[in-house]
Amino acid sequence: MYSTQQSEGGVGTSASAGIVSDECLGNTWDSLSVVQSMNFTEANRITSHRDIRLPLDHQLSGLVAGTATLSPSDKGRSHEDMDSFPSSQRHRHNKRKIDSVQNQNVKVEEQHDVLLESVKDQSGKDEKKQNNEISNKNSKGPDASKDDYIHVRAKRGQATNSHSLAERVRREKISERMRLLQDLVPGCNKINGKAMMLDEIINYVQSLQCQVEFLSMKLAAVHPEMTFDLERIVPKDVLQPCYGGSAVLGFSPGMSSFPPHLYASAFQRITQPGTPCVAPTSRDLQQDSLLQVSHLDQHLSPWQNELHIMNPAPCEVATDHIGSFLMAQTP
Amino acid sequence: MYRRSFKDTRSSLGSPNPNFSKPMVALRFLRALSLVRRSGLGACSPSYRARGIRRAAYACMAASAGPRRAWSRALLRKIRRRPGRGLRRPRAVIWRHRPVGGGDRLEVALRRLVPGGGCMEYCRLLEEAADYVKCLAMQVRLMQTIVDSASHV
Repeated sequence: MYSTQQSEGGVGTSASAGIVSDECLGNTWDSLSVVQSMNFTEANRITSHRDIRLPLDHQLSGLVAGTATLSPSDKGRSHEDMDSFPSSQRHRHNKRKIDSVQNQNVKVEEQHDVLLESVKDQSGKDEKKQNNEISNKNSKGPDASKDDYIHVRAKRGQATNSHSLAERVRREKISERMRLLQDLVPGCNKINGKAMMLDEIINYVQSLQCQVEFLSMKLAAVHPEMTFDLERIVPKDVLQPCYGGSAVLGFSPGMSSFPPHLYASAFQRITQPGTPCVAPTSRDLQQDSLLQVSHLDQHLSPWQNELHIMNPAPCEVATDHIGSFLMAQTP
Repeated sequence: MYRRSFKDTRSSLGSPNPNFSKPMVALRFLRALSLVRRSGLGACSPSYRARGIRRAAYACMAASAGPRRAWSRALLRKIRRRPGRGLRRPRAVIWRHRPVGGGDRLEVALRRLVPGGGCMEYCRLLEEAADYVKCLAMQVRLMQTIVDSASHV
């Protein structure tokens, strides 16, 4: 991250400088002007520019020096190089060097971290794109080498700034959660916008809360008639296997309002042997039994007497089990 | 009267898994209902009872959802707090990072709906909202079943 920012900074200032100086000295460098402008960015990346106003030839010689030695070149150094090379040779040399530089882009990238640590951080936002394009074309490596918790690969053509990466991760997380919500809320498959989706969700939650209110009012109205008592209900469920279906069948005409098959299935499940204690394992069993027992209750009271009369001994055994189970629950 | 019922619902069956199970909620809810009915024999007016039942419903939902969820914790806190107490006592709760996203009215509305949604980040808010919706839907279905079965007989 540090290196990429600095590379942006280096490119920003020196690329602009390069373009300006190119225009100034257009005559001598016409043949190479296009190639030069292309390679300025690379040259400027290689060399560490502390002085913005370096002239064109200095930059080129810097390019040469950079490719040769890949070391930070000061003003003084570039002077020396200029002196050593006559201008014509420089042309040829630069051409060759330009090609080699293009091939050595990857190596240049890697040397970035070493070279540009000393460069001042001057971030130019307009040059970011350029640098990003180059860095993206060359390699996606620099991003993965960061010490982040989440390693994200910057795709081609996307910004590699750490901030934008983090934002992208966050956006993906949010979209994932929205998809989850979409599955939960019925009828939201066709809606594609985030705002509409949120609207639907809010409406759904509000409607659910209203339903809870309404149902609680309804329950309050019905409630006094319901006489269920859990302490007594559960033992009875266990007691039923002792009596089989005989008592139940005897009762069934009285409860004609219920579909008899529901009853039978529930009682069959309850009468399964081997479960003396209505343990948490038999949850389905419990659910059905409880939900149906609530309306059984009114009819159970006469039945209770029968149960007590017929077989007192198993009752005690069963109630002991259930009692212990319930005691485990209550504090 | 309410405290008794909620203490009872708080006595969770020791299920550590955050994924609630319907029968457990049913059990809790029925127990809470019976307690509500027992205490005061249905109080004075149906509206009073309705409020008690509603609070019991939310308490069961939150208790069965588990303490791992922020919304269940916030909901239980809200229920157990006695009315009028919060104003007198100094705020002991440290407001964690309070996200300022006041521009988006949809987000603000969602925060108000989901319990405990005032100080969550947007990502977590969506997550909690999903879980809350799931639990709410299940609770509604349960209550509907009970009402249906009670009205049939």
